[in-house]
Amino acid sequence: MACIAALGMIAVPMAIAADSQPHGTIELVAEESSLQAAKPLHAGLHFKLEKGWHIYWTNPGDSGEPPRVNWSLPPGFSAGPLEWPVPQRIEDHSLVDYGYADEVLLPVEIRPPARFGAETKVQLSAQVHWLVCRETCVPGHADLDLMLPIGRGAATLSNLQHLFAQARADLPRRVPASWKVMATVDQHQWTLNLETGSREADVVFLPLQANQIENSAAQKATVTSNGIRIEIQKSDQMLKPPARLTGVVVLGSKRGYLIDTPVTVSK
Amino acid sequence: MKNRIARLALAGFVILAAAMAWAVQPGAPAPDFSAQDTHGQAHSLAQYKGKYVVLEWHNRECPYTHKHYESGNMQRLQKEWTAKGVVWFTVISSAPGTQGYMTADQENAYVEKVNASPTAVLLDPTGQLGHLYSAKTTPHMFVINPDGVLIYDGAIDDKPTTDTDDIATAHNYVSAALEEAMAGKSVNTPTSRPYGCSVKYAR
Repeated sequence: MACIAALGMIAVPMAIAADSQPHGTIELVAEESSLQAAKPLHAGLHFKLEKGWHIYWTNPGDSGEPPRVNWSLPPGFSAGPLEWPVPQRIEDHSLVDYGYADEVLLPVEIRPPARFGAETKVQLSAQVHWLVCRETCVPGHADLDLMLPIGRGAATLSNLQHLFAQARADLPRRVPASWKVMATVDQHQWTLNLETGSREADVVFLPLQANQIENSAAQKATVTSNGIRIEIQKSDQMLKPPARLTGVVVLGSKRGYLIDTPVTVSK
Repeated sequence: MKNRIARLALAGFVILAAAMAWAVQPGAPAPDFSAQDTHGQAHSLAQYKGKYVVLEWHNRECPYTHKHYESGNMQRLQKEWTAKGVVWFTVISSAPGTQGYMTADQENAYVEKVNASPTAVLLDPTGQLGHLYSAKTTPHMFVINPDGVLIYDGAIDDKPTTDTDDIATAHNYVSAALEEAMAGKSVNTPTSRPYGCSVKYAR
């Protein structure tokens, strides 16, 4: 893209490809400044949004669409899936969506081949589609390129470390082995019981699948002696209970845990 | 005595059935409504018993709605299904001052300009009809069978994007539901996640 050349001329680090878009910017960034054979590169899509605008989580909720990416990579390279930091619950008229305002990095792992040939640099290209909304929605599209040298010895871009560290901290983590998670559904509601071993002050459940919970319904949390229980209205569009409930529970302000638990159906 | 208990039990069942009808769910009766169209005509669901009814939530300025009108896809569906006797209501639930709100005259001019052919466009600026059906997005599609039972609630198709190129390869859930039901089959996909912009209800 033209912007690569422009960025090169003003001596911005090579590991950034930015594109200005309606209501924000998107960049393809990498934590490392060079590629190493057989070592994953920590890349990501970095969105910076105008105030009040938001993009969407992998499950966008009642409306919207998550960003998606098509990679054009050299032979032998592969890209992992986009990873999704814990989103916000965004109220939109009487609906509820899940997404990100202000700024977010969606990490993605790029896996280079086991060995390189004679090349000294490599171009990674991403065709990205997303939706950005405030009162209204605007589709975004960008073709982003990232040129990286093939290196001998890893060099990390210090000015981006903070960004990647923050994104990693915001990714939902695995449920600790000591926890007990139980999901029950009846005709009207879900009950998610979390035994964490300590009293939990607050919890929000964010579903990874559509049509399971009523996104806009209030979630009723009850503190228990060793955790917290949460009751959520079932979606009218859920015709039969799923075998498993998947989602993210957020304890406190931003500690997200990935839930994937068998569902018990109660009458 | 026995008779009376049976009657009480029956009454209980009727109340339960009425309460359950509040949940808009495929397989359950679709809630009745009455709404005005852009020509001042009132339409209720009950008056179309015996016909298939499609409800299409609409906001012309939403890029997802735009995708299906710009490409002519929605107009094609309206033409095809109304020709087969289906009643097709386009519904506008945008509140005054929000995106997609239209006066009757503005909407009539638009329908003519884009060559749309719904049976009627229902104006729902209070959002009453939208909330009754829990319409979430534009578009959000509902199909009701001649017995008044909801048989489909969800997206227009399986390609949740704003890209018109996706229409050609998309599986249209509305047409599928109508085709299957008219052939006497059960609807294979009775719900899906509707995709689009949020309905711009009054806050």
